[in-house]
Amino acid sequence: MKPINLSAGTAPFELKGSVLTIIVLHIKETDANRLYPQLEKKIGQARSFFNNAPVLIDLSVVDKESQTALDFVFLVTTLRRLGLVPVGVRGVDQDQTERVLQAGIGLLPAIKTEKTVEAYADKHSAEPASPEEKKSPESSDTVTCQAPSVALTKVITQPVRSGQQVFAPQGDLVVLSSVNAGAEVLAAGNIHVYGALRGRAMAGINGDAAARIFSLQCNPELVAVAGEYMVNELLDTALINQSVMISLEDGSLKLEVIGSFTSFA
Amino acid sequence: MIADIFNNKEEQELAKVVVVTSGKGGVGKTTTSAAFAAGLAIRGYKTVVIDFDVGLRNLDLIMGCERRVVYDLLNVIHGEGSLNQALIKDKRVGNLFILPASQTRDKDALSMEGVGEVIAALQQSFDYIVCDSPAGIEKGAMTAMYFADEALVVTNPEISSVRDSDRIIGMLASKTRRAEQNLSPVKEHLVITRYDPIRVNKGDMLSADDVHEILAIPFLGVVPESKSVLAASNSGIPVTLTDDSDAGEAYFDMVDRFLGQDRPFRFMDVPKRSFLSRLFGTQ
Repeated sequence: MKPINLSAGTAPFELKGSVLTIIVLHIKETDANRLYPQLEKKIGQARSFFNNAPVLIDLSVVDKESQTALDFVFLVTTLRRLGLVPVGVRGVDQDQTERVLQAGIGLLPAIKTEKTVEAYADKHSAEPASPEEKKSPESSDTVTCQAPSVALTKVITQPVRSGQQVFAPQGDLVVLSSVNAGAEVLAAGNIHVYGALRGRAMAGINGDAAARIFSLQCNPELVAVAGEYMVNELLDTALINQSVMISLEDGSLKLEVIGSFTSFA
Repeated sequence: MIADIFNNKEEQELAKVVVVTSGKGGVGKTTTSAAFAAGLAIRGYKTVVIDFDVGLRNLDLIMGCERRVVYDLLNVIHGEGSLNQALIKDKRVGNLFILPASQTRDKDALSMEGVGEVIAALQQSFDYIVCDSPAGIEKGAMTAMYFADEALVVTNPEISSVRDSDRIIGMLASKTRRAEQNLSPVKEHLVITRYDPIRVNKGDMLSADDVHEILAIPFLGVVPESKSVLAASNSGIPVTLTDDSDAGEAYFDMVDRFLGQDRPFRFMDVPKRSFLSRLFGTQ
């Protein structure tokens, strides 16, 4: 029984916090003559891809004066025109808060915990810092699709049965039971099966060639890493029902027996 | 004649709904439903067995009541007859009732709400409701499993049957009332029928262990491949009501295990040959 079950029925809304992935626009310099043409060029090409996606503007690497020079209203209108929906700004100097709010978007505190991400961003910002050397507009990474700092692992405790599909769209997939024939498991990262793998397993579905598949008892219908696949018929019979790791090496799948224990069964 | 159906159940918990399902056809769902329901009734539980195979009804034949069917499940759902009129009392076991399926209609005529109402009404007066599911994963099978509290997953020891059962077990965990309302999951029991230990030893047939390992649900028992099953079916007697039947004994073991008693597993190994038959090399 829920405690809040009054005669009025369920509440018409709930207010909840949520962690989500969002496109972040890291701005590195605010010179309008360089920023806007490049934005137009870069985003304009991929307009259909963004399709009214919410975007967060990050100004952490822009110094105080350059921030003052930035016209927030113009930036916001430009982004809207390019098919993006700016929702907020982060890493902005305190003096600018009034102007940001006037532009009709929200304020977020600068990121502090994501050290690695910032280091990565810094390294990238070093490149276009000398724009004379590299004129090619592609080299300036103004739009970065930022993945969450820790990819999410999906853990499945039940057997994955015939007809079922389990998908880990961002990180690894761990199955603490078997993947039966007729079932399908997919992950952006690695796939671990702590049981028999009898169905289909596809790791690195977004193209991660470093993804691997591990299984305690390997007899899959099909395995694939980053699009390279192999059907059961092509597997080395010596590997069937062994503990096997599958990886991608020089463009083809490599299967090797792993684990140092000997079974006394 | 059947005025006493609804009045002799004391105040207690609602009847348990048990679905007999498999995915694949021809594995012994109806035989199991009939034998299991008769077994529960003999053990003293008031039991009704419902045929959900609309259009291909068989349960009445196996139960030997095909010549007494007046109204069926769909008549009750559509208000053309009352539940009392549709229930057929078994002539051999007092506690046993059959609710037949319609032979003339389409499976789509089974409405989830209608079946829910029928089951809710039956729960008031019975101890066990056994639902004989049709094969497949279409509406009939989905309706049969939707209200289940427990499930007998009937499997033959061969790979296609095992795979279909695997699919059904997945659906029991996602497409039932218990799954949709976040109640404790449907309790599954593995029943392996047409088991032949000699062929298992030869490697022609999957062993009970293999099947159990793949499906990973609690094991209720095996029913040996037996001539008595066909004979009983053709004469309209649930195999648990026949004398001297190994399959009947196997079903009784399962009923008792289902009811929480400890019974040693039988019929799993090749019967030992006597000294003389070994000497003369006969089987």
